[in-house]
Amino acid sequence: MIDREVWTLPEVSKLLRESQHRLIYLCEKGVVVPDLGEAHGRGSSRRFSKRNLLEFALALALRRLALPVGVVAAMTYVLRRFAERLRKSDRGFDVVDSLRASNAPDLRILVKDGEELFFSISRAGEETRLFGGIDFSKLGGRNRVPPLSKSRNVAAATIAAFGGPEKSRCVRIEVSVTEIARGLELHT
Amino acid sequence: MSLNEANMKRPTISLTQRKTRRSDRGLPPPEVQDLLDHLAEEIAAEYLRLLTPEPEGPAGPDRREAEVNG
Repeated sequence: MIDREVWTLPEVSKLLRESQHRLIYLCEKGVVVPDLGEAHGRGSSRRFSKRNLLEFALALALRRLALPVGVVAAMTYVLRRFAERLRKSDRGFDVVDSLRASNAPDLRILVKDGEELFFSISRAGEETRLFGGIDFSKLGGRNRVPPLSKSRNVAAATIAAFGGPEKSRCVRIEVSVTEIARGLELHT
Repeated sequence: MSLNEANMKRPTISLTQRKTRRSDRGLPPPEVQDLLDHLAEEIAAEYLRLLTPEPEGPAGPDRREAEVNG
Protein backbone atom coordinates (compact mmCIF):
# COMPACT_ATOMS: atom_id res chain seq x y z
CA MET A 1 0.00 0.00 0.00
CA ILE A 2 1.23 3.50 -0.80
CA ASP A 3 0.13 6.88 0.47
CA ARG A 4 -1.62 9.05 -2.08
CA GLU A 5 -0.60 12.65 -2.67
CA VAL A 6 -3.54 14.18 -4.59
CA TRP A 7 -7.31 13.97 -4.11
CA THR A 8 -10.19 15.40 -6.12
CA LEU A 9 -13.35 16.72 -4.51
CA PRO A 10 -15.42 13.56 -5.16
CA GLU A 11 -12.58 11.50 -3.68
CA VAL A 12 -12.42 13.66 -0.55
CA SER A 13 -16.18 13.42 -0.28
CA LYS A 14 -16.04 9.63 -0.41
CA LEU A 15 -13.10 9.38 1.96
CA LEU A 16 -14.60 11.64 4.63
CA ARG A 17 -18.20 10.51 3.99
CA GLU A 18 -19.33 14.09 3.59
CA SER A 19 -21.37 15.73 0.83
CA GLN A 20 -19.47 17.66 -1.83
CA HIS A 21 -21.49 20.81 -1.28
CA ARG A 22 -20.37 20.99 2.36
CA LEU A 23 -16.76 20.60 1.28
CA ILE A 24 -17.19 23.33 -1.36
CA TYR A 25 -18.69 25.59 1.30
CA LEU A 26 -15.56 25.14 3.45
CA CYS A 27 -13.39 26.03 0.42
CA GLU A 28 -15.45 29.09 -0.40
CA LYS A 29 -15.22 30.30 3.19
CA GLY A 30 -11.44 29.94 3.14
CA VAL A 31 -11.44 27.18 5.77
CA VAL A 32 -9.64 24.92 3.30
CA VAL A 33 -7.47 26.37 0.54
CA PRO A 34 -6.73 23.70 -2.09
CA ASP A 35 -2.97 23.18 -2.21
CA LEU A 36 -2.83 21.69 -5.66
CA GLY A 37 -5.35 23.62 -7.72
CA GLU A 38 -8.21 26.03 -7.15
CA ALA A 39 -11.44 26.09 -9.17
CA HIS A 40 -11.44 29.09 -11.48
CA GLY A 41 -14.52 28.46 -13.54
CA ARG A 42 -15.94 25.89 -15.86
CA GLY A 43 -13.74 22.90 -16.57
CA SER A 44 -11.27 23.46 -13.73
CA SER A 45 -11.33 21.47 -10.56
CA ARG A 46 -9.93 21.70 -7.08
CA ARG A 47 -7.17 19.27 -6.16
CA PHE A 48 -6.32 18.61 -2.56
CA SER A 49 -3.20 17.59 -0.65
CA LYS A 50 -2.83 15.39 2.39
CA ARG A 51 -2.74 18.52 4.53
CA ASN A 52 -6.01 19.66 2.97
CA LEU A 53 -7.54 16.34 4.03
CA LEU A 54 -6.48 17.01 7.59
CA GLU A 55 -7.99 20.51 7.38
CA PHE A 56 -11.28 19.09 6.06
CA ALA A 57 -11.45 16.40 8.74
CA LEU A 58 -10.68 18.93 11.46
CA ALA A 59 -13.14 21.50 10.12
CA LEU A 60 -15.95 18.96 9.80
CA ALA A 61 -15.37 17.76 13.36
CA LEU A 62 -15.49 21.33 14.64
CA ARG A 63 -18.52 22.29 12.56
CA ARG A 64 -20.39 19.32 14.06
CA LEU A 65 -19.90 21.10 17.39
CA ALA A 66 -21.56 24.16 15.80
CA LEU A 67 -18.49 26.38 16.06
CA PRO A 68 -18.76 29.46 13.80
CA VAL A 69 -17.10 29.05 10.42
CA GLY A 70 -14.92 32.14 11.04
CA VAL A 71 -13.46 30.52 14.14
CA VAL A 72 -12.86 27.22 12.33
CA ALA A 73 -11.17 29.14 9.50
CA ALA A 74 -8.85 30.77 12.05
CA MET A 75 -7.92 27.34 13.41
CA THR A 76 -7.10 25.90 9.99
CA TYR A 77 -5.20 29.10 9.14
CA VAL A 78 -2.98 28.62 12.22
CA LEU A 79 -2.47 24.97 11.28
CA ARG A 80 -1.52 25.97 7.72
CA ARG A 81 0.96 28.61 8.90
CA PHE A 82 2.34 26.16 11.47
CA ALA A 83 3.02 23.61 8.72
CA GLU A 84 4.57 26.24 6.44
CA ARG A 85 6.85 27.42 9.23
CA LEU A 86 8.10 23.88 9.85
CA ARG A 87 8.59 23.35 6.13
CA LYS A 88 10.94 26.33 6.14
CA SER A 89 13.13 24.50 8.66
CA ASP A 90 12.89 21.19 6.82
CA ARG A 91 11.85 21.16 3.17
CA GLY A 92 10.81 17.54 3.41
CA PHE A 93 8.48 18.19 6.34
CA ASP A 94 4.91 17.01 5.94
CA VAL A 95 2.57 17.91 8.79
CA VAL A 96 0.30 14.88 8.33
CA ASP A 97 3.17 12.38 8.16
CA SER A 98 4.77 14.05 11.18
CA LEU A 99 1.59 13.90 13.27
CA ARG A 100 1.04 10.25 12.31
CA ALA A 101 4.50 9.23 13.48
CA SER A 102 4.64 7.14 16.65
CA ASN A 103 6.70 9.73 18.55
CA ALA A 104 4.65 12.74 17.41
CA PRO A 105 3.76 15.39 19.96
CA ASP A 106 0.05 15.65 20.70
CA LEU A 107 -1.22 18.86 19.10
CA ARG A 108 -4.62 19.93 20.38
CA ILE A 109 -7.08 22.76 19.94
CA LEU A 110 -8.91 24.00 23.01
CA VAL A 111 -11.89 26.28 23.31
CA LYS A 112 -12.29 27.83 26.72
CA ASP A 113 -15.84 28.58 27.85
CA GLY A 114 -16.94 29.21 24.24
CA GLU A 115 -14.89 32.41 24.28
CA GLU A 116 -11.20 31.83 23.70
CA LEU A 117 -9.05 29.79 21.35
CA PHE A 118 -5.92 27.94 22.52
CA PHE A 119 -3.54 25.38 21.06
CA SER A 120 -1.63 22.94 23.24
CA ILE A 121 1.32 20.64 22.63
CA SER A 122 2.41 17.82 24.84
CA ARG A 123 4.57 14.75 24.77
CA ALA A 124 4.43 11.77 27.08
CA GLY A 125 6.06 12.56 30.40
CA GLU A 126 6.31 16.29 29.74
CA GLU A 127 4.20 19.18 30.85
CA THR A 128 1.57 20.44 28.38
CA ARG A 129 2.46 23.79 26.83
CA LEU A 130 -0.40 26.16 26.12
CA PHE A 131 -0.50 28.84 23.41
CA GLY A 132 -2.97 31.51 22.42
CA GLY A 133 -6.01 32.74 24.26
CA ILE A 134 -7.53 34.56 21.32
CA ASP A 135 -10.97 36.02 21.90
CA PHE A 136 -13.65 34.56 19.64
CA SER A 137 -15.17 37.97 19.05
CA LYS A 138 -12.00 38.91 17.10
CA LEU A 139 -12.49 35.90 14.86
CA GLY A 140 -15.98 36.82 13.78
CA GLY A 141 -17.59 34.32 16.09
CA ARG A 142 -20.36 35.12 18.48
CA ASN A 143 -20.02 33.60 21.91
CA ARG A 144 -22.60 30.89 22.31
CA VAL A 145 -22.15 30.40 26.02
CA PRO A 146 -24.01 32.92 28.18
CA PRO A 147 -21.68 35.39 29.92
CA LEU A 148 -20.44 34.04 33.23
CA SER A 149 -20.49 35.87 36.50
CA LYS A 150 -17.05 36.51 37.96
CA SER A 151 -18.25 35.54 41.42
CA ARG A 152 -18.60 31.91 42.45
CA ASN A 153 -20.68 30.05 44.96
CA VAL A 154 -17.97 29.20 47.49
CA ALA A 155 -20.04 26.44 49.08
CA ALA A 156 -20.13 24.62 45.75
CA ALA A 157 -16.42 25.01 45.09
CA THR A 158 -15.58 21.68 46.71
CA ILE A 159 -16.45 19.66 43.59
CA ALA A 160 -13.57 18.44 41.45
CA ALA A 161 -11.82 21.22 39.57
CA PHE A 162 -13.03 21.65 36.02
CA GLY A 163 -10.97 22.59 33.00
CA GLY A 164 -7.54 21.73 31.69
CA PRO A 165 -4.41 23.85 31.41
CA GLU A 166 -6.45 26.66 29.85
CA LYS A 167 -8.58 26.78 33.05
CA SER A 168 -12.03 26.69 31.50
CA ARG A 169 -14.69 27.55 34.01
CA CYS A 170 -17.59 25.34 32.88
CA VAL A 171 -17.43 24.56 29.14
CA ARG A 172 -14.50 23.28 27.16
CA ILE A 173 -13.94 21.82 23.72
CA GLU A 174 -10.80 19.81 23.11
CA VAL A 175 -9.82 18.36 19.75
CA SER A 176 -6.69 16.32 19.11
CA VAL A 177 -5.28 17.27 15.71
CA THR A 178 -2.76 14.45 16.11
CA GLU A 179 -5.50 11.83 16.50
CA ILE A 180 -7.47 13.23 13.55
CA ALA A 181 -4.32 12.98 11.39
CA ARG A 182 -3.81 9.41 12.55
CA GLY A 183 -7.39 8.52 11.66
CA LEU A 184 -7.11 9.57 8.00
CA GLU A 185 -7.30 6.70 5.51
CA LEU A 186 -4.54 7.74 3.14
CA HIS A 187 -3.71 4.42 1.51
CA THR A 188 -4.77 3.39 -1.98
CA MET B 1 -22.51 38.28 -29.64
CA SER B 2 -25.64 36.46 -28.60
CA LEU B 3 -26.77 36.36 -24.99
CA ASN B 4 -26.05 32.66 -24.92
CA GLU B 5 -22.46 33.20 -26.06
CA ALA B 6 -21.94 35.96 -23.50
CA ASN B 7 -23.15 33.66 -20.73
CA MET B 8 -20.76 30.94 -21.87
CA LYS B 9 -17.81 33.35 -21.62
CA ARG B 10 -18.70 34.58 -18.14
CA PRO B 11 -16.76 32.75 -15.41
CA THR B 12 -18.85 30.72 -13.04
CA ILE B 13 -18.62 32.32 -9.59
CA SER B 14 -21.07 31.40 -6.89
CA LEU B 15 -22.71 34.03 -4.72
CA THR B 16 -20.83 32.76 -1.68
CA GLN B 17 -17.51 33.27 -3.48
CA ARG B 18 -18.39 36.84 -4.39
CA LYS B 19 -19.11 37.64 -0.77
CA THR B 20 -15.90 36.14 0.61
CA ARG B 21 -13.06 37.70 -1.36
CA ARG B 22 -10.50 37.74 1.45
CA SER B 23 -11.44 34.37 2.83
CA ASP B 24 -11.19 32.95 -0.72
CA ARG B 25 -7.47 33.03 -0.13
CA GLY B 26 -7.78 31.54 3.33
CA LEU B 27 -6.86 34.78 5.02
CA PRO B 28 -8.36 35.82 8.34
CA PRO B 29 -9.49 39.40 8.99
CA PRO B 30 -6.43 41.71 8.82
CA GLU B 31 -6.80 42.76 12.45
CA VAL B 32 -6.19 39.20 13.70
CA GLN B 33 -3.82 37.91 11.05
CA ASP B 34 -0.71 39.02 12.94
CA LEU B 35 -2.05 37.43 16.10
CA LEU B 36 -2.65 34.10 14.37
CA ASP B 37 0.71 34.23 12.58
CA HIS B 38 2.45 34.76 15.89
CA LEU B 39 0.49 31.89 17.44
CA ALA B 40 1.52 29.57 14.57
CA GLU B 41 5.17 30.60 15.02
CA GLU B 42 5.08 29.78 18.73
CA ILE B 43 3.45 26.39 18.17
CA ALA B 44 5.92 25.53 15.41
CA ALA B 45 8.88 26.43 17.62
CA GLU B 46 7.63 24.21 20.44
CA TYR B 47 6.77 21.36 18.06
CA LEU B 48 10.26 21.56 16.57
CA ARG B 49 11.79 21.54 20.04
CA LEU B 50 9.91 18.35 20.93
CA LEU B 51 10.89 16.68 17.67
CA THR B 52 14.57 17.52 18.03
CA PRO B 53 16.37 14.67 19.80
CA GLU B 54 18.15 15.65 22.98
CA PRO B 55 21.94 15.29 22.96
CA GLU B 56 23.05 11.85 24.04
CA GLY B 57 25.20 11.04 27.03
CA PRO B 58 25.45 12.56 30.46
CA ALA B 59 25.31 16.32 30.69
CA GLY B 60 25.92 18.91 33.38
CA PRO B 61 27.14 17.64 36.78
CA ASP B 62 26.83 13.99 35.72
CA ARG B 63 29.09 14.63 32.75
CA ARG B 64 31.70 16.39 34.87
CA GLU B 65 31.57 13.50 37.31
CA ALA B 66 32.06 11.04 34.47
CA GLU B 67 35.06 13.03 33.24
CA VAL B 68 36.60 13.13 36.72
CA ASN B 69 36.09 9.41 37.19
CA GLY B 70 37.65 8.76 33.79
